[in-house]
Amino acid sequence: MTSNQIIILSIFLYLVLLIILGLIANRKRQSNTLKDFYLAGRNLGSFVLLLTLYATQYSANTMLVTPAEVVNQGMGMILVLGYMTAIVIFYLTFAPQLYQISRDQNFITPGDWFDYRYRYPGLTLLANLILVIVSINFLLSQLMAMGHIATGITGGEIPYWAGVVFLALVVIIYESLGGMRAVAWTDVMQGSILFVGLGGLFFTVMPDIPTLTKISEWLIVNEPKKIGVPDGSFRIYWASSVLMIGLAGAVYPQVIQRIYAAKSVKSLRTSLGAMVFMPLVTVLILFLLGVISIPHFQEAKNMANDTVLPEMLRVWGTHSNFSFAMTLMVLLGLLAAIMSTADSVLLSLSSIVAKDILGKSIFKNSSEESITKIGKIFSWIIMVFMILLALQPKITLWGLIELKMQILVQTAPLFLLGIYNKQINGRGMMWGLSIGFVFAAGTFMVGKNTFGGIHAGLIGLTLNVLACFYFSKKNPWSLNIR
Amino acid sequence: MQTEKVFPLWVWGVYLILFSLSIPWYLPSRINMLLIIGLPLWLVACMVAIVIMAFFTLWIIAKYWKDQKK
Repeated sequence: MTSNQIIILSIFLYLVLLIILGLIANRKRQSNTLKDFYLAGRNLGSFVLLLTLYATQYSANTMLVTPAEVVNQGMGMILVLGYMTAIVIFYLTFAPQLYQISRDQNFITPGDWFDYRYRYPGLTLLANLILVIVSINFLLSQLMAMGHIATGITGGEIPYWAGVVFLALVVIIYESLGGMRAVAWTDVMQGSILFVGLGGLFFTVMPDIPTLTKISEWLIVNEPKKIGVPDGSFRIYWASSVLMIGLAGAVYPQVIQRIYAAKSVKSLRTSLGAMVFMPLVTVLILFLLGVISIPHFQEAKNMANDTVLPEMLRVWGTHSNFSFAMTLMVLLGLLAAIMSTADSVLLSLSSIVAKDILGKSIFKNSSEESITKIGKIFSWIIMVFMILLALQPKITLWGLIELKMQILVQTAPLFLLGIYNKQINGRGMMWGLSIGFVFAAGTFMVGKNTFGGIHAGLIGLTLNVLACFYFSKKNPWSLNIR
Repeated sequence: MQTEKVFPLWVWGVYLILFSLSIPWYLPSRINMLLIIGLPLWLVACMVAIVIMAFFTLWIIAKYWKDQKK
């Protein structure tokens, strides 16, 4: 059997397993309520919660971009370790309080928190529309990645369109069958494959210290910019990334729902305590794999994001049967990472559309069971629409990813300020969110992503927060003229 | 609505310091390129700061984040 055939067979078996898990999750459902479908009955224990957070947070973006950008830009890309760690630290700023309130008040979606805290329907609607835009953007980028990876790792035997269509179909099938339960269980499998594969690969290919020293000495002579300390403007960009991506990554709607879905305070605490080590066993490994790959791509300039890791896996896979097995696991892990992010985004998107948007308008007086059903139908509609978009050759990935974080971060004050500051009200937050969103979207439209190394989203966030405080005052329009 | 602080304020100060230490602005350039375990000193300092942050997080969760008693 050729290695391509083994890879295709492994993918096929993996997809069958996902559907089986979906069927089992369907049988385990306790009711047709929103809580059961979207939050697995609020019953996720530490282990499942950790792996579903891990699989959801680590998409193919992180996994592919990290080694590719190390090859292209050098060791300054260790900043990815910084911002992936910052995400977990930012969880701690609001998750303990939000979890308790969500339990007491039976929250299902982020919108439930917005309604409870601000009692300002316009704000909830605007915030939900922003989350929908971000989720659609994110889902589209995952579907496109599915197509590229499927083609890449099978040497073109699975064409792009087939990768998009079949993988997306598998996701929607197991998700409709089992909701959050299916998504969480498949995340456990996906997270485990990734973890074992990366760990195994690291031990197989990582050179000893004398060899690593030789590689670093080679870099000092041949590629000094890739090993030298990053310059001042890059360091500003680094700090800005840690702050912006850290905050934005902590408030993804699918993350908020996982906080709600924790079985207990102990489960949430344990999983977040373990989660803070995940960057060290994922990003750091990918970073070091990128470093040792730099000499291999000496002649090439600006390698595309989705070529470095697959190419190196192909090279490393030939060392021994064990290294082939580990590279196979990492390849499957790559696919798993995309699917696990896509399923989580789709689930939270469908909950927002069904419960917060349609459930408050067209289907206002429908029962919970009906809204759950509407949510499932909408998942299918959204997925078909996304598949059609992903098959359009003209859409490019790059801008979509940058825009997503710059906009999403504008929703962070809704959680952080809302929990800690009683003076902030719905009107103030509406102004803040609107100003932040317009600034972030506007700067993106004119092609300006950073100002002196600082992300436009972060500047927008500053304006956002200032506006929140100012417009929350009793008479913001009065002029204090003496 | 519960808005009590779970972690004391100084915890966030420690994180600010650790994140600052994880960005290589403070080491003199002539010693930054010393190789430690095969990697430049500035990179190792960054990694160590993140490792300390991870263990610090584990500690503060165990010490300050308790089950809510009703």
